[in-house]
Amino acid sequence: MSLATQSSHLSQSTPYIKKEARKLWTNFIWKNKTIYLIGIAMVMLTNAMQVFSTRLMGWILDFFTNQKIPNILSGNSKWDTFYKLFWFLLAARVITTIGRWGWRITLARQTHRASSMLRTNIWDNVRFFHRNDLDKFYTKGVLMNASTSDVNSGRFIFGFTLVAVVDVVFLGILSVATMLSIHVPMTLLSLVVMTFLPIVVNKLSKLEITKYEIAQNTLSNFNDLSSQVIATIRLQRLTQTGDYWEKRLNGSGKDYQEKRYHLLKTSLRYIPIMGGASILSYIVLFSLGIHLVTSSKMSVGDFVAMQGLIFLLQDPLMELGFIISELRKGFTSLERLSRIFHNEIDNNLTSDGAIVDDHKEILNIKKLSFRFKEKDKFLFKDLNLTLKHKDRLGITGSIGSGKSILINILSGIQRNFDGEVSLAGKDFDDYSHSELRKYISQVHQKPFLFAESIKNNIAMDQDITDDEIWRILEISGLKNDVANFDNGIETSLGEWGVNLSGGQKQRLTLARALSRKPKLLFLDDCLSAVDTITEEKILQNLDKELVDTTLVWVAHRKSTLKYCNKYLHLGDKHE
Amino acid sequence: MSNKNNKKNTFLKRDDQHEHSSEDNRIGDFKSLLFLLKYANSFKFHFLLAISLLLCTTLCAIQSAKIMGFLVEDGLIPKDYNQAWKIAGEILLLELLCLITQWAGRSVLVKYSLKTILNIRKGLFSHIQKLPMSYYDHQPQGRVVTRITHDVESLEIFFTGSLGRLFNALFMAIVASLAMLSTNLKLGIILISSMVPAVLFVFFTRDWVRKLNRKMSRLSSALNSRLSEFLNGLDVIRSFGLESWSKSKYDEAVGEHLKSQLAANKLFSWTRPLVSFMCSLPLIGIIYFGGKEVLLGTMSVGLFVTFIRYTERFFMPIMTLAREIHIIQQAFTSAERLTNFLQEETEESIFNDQNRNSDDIIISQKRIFGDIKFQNVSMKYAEGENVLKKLSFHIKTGEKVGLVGTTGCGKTTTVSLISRLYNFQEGEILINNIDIKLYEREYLRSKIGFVSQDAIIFRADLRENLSTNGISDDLLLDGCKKTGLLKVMNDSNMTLDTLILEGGANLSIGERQLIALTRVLLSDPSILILDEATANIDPHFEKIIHAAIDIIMEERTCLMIAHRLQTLDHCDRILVFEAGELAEEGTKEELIANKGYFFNLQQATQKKEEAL
Repeated sequence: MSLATQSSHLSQSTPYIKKEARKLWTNFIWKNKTIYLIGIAMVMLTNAMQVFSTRLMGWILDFFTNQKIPNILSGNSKWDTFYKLFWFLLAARVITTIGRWGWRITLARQTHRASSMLRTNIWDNVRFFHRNDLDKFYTKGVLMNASTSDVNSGRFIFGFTLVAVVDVVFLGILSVATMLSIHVPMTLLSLVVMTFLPIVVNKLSKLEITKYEIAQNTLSNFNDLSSQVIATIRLQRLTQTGDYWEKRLNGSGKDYQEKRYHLLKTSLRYIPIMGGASILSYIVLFSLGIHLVTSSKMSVGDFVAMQGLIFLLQDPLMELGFIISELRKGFTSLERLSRIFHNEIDNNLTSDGAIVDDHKEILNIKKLSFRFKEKDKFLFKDLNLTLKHKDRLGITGSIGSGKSILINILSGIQRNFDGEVSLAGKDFDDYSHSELRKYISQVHQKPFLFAESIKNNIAMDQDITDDEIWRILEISGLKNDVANFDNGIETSLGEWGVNLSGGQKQRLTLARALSRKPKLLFLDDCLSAVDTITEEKILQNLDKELVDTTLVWVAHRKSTLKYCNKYLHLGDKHE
Repeated sequence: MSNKNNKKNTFLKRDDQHEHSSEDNRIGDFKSLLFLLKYANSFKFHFLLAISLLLCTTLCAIQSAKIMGFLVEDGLIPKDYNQAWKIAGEILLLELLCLITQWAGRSVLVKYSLKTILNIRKGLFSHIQKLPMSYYDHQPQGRVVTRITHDVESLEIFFTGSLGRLFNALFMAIVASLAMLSTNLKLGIILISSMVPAVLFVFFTRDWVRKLNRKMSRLSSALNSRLSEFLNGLDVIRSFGLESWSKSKYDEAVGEHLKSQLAANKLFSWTRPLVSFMCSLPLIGIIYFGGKEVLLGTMSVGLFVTFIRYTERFFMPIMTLAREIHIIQQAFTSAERLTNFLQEETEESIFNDQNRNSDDIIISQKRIFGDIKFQNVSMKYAEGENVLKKLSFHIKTGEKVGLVGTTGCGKTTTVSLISRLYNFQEGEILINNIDIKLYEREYLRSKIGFVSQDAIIFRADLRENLSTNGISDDLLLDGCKKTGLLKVMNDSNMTLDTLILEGGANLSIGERQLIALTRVLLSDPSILILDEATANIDPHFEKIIHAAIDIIMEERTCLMIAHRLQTLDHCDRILVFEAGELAEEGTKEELIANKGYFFNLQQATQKKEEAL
């Protein structure tokens, strides 16, 4: 798994991050303290009733074997006492039920609220990350992993794990106290014998988590491969490569099956541990209890109650092991998430700035050079160019000559370059991100569409009437295509919707850019998959409709650039 | 793929994983599980062993509970130390046996369940290669992916986890009821019937639970696809300043998901405790009815204790069932979907049923020379209007023919029919004057070389990317030399052992295309189909690729789909499509002289060139 290498950068938590993770946790709890308090009270109520009903069973047996039972439970007659005992038991069960409802609706519910809080925070920060961070450290895989597995394990320490903590502490104390009230030495002995339980369980659950993660990683690789195979099924059939993919899927499936087997084998080890604990409890109970009862030092009822309590104690002790590993896992996840929440953001995207004023010179480029790294060759060097209002600039050049980078620089997306570029007389840094984006639009070479309706893909965050949408579709040469869909502009796209052809996608992304009525529009070879006649129609439309817009046009083929009044050719790499 | 006909996508099949989808058209939960069990056939003895072991577990557990009563009755109450220890020893032994059989049984079950699941997966993988293209056209990609991923996973979770517990629970319930009935019939009946409310409750709330769970998982995957989509489209988000828009969209998805989680929490908050309470009804019953009998002297205290232990063993299974009912249900649903999927008609059955007489010989040896004849071919994708309307043309062996027309005119469909990706309803297609339906599809396709805009490149060394048929390195390199790949390899220090990354991530578009072309050359097809093969390639590579294409085209019948007319310069003849019909046909010069559709196309292009 490539995550292993990536996480070397991501895996060390600084003290600052550790503190932030804890702060995240405590703040959330503090903000909802009333709910948490009610929840904890409810868990305690449930525990008290559980212990009480177990104890009650012992008293019932004592009553049957004519032993002494607490005064409060005895009535005037034998039958009276019996009914009294019965009603107490029933009441205890009912209250237990109410208590369980109570902690679920309060404390456990916080688990879900926390997960939503964590998820919201992820995108809130990631949307402003530096491109470089996204490419190198926070790749899609890492972030998707954070949003699924880290949120999943991190959320529990806000709810369910806390239920377990209260449960363990309170139920443990109550059971032990009750046991002590029955027989001190026997209680101590069982406690000593059972200490192995939390230790072993903790160890095993740690191992289980590791195996689980390995299995999940293999599964997600396997699933990725599966979607890839389905996505290319047509091409596989045409190129006769289906067998190869089937073989790969089988191999990947087998790999996953093995990982999953390791995990399940680990999980099954809980059986001997739990069973062993039961057997040990029996040994303690029998070795002391039989002697005590037969020598009349303990009542049969106490013996039965003791048995119930020892078994009741097993749960919190096991639980303790789980809690320790759950807490550790939860906080580790929270730290990983905190790193995302506190990663540096691109200030260019969030800072305030000036409004773009009218200016004769839309773009002014002086001695612009660019290279990726210090020692690389320059992609282009010392470009000088002025773009006036309503100019139409055509850019040509071979693949890899830096056309797309140049567009990113000229549109203010890429700010690392040598030389000067000013937009309407000012530096890009002087404007706010939102102001720049209102002014400039861009159609990318690779069409990217959202899984929304056609209408929403054009309007995005704007309010646009249907008539306007149709008008824009007409300019982009897509009107007839969309009119042919059953749902028109409401047709949805994406995995579960209609598949558009490459050319249709390109025209739709063009429509999206046009809908924003930009003053400066960049078109990055965006009609390459459109047939010649349609392309020609679109070019005419653009020239006619965008009278007031300054255009920068990148194209492979010169034929596309006939409406331009300025040209720039990017040649081979400069030394 | 470019140029797909949009009509065929407008009637996507209904989403059967949506929680509101009605349940008609079902083949029944149980039947489908049985269908899938055939994948477990070779392991039936192992499963039998596992089940017997788990049955032993139950018997030991019940016996242990039973003699616990004897311990109280015969050992503790009479204060007989030796007798007490004798029984206690038996209890310890039984508990130990219980542990061992349980561990062994579950281990065997898990191991062979996983093997069964792997068999199912393999079955699915081979099935996806056998389904006809028309199946994929009517299914959203996501759904097919869900079939081979999530549906198998939920089956796996059930088989490897719940199934063992379910066996335990079932055996325990049966054995405990039998034990109770045989010990004290009246009390036994009372106790067993006091379980009825719990069972009924679980049964009647199951659809509720299922709907909520499905909704949650649907919204959860919607949420994840949102994030994944936004990460993929971050460049667009940034260059349009859509940061706030994306946040509100994402928060909306998170909110929807949270709402469904909270609804589930609300439901489980009262149903889970209520089920626990109902499960304790037998215990309350034994205290009341059993206690009365003890007081009246008709029942011994020992038996009373035994019954308490029985009921404890008895209600655990129901609790398990209540907790895991959704996993079980999900597994049944998935089993049903998988069965449906696996029973979808394959290409084989669809193509064979209608078109071949049993006495026809399937042709798989004869050399195909590449003479293609369409005679009045009409074709439509399932419902909808005809995409090809009585199409007729003849392409002779070795001819190079260009296919031209606007999007949706039928040129891609025509090519797909030659590769037998779809069936057609009327007319005949003849290859070498033999009905295309008589050829074995695999063989036919292996004789057709297909090069499209996007090359298929996989993560493997270059050798495997070029051919998976075990061709010798000499022959491979010879092919590379012919297409010019060898020179490119030398220039960029590539050998046959060079690892190519997924999708050719470490190659340029030109290099990928060149590999795909070399692969086609090595497979030595008789018919070559080029679907806009030179789009998106930079001028440097364009020359190399064109040279390679020229070499591959030699002595082969070639069909070229083109959006740009320059591509057609090498064609002997051009077929112009319009709305599923052949509008024009002839050499480039003839068509221009005709002043028809092609002429207009030509004019539009020329006008552009002149303007420069």
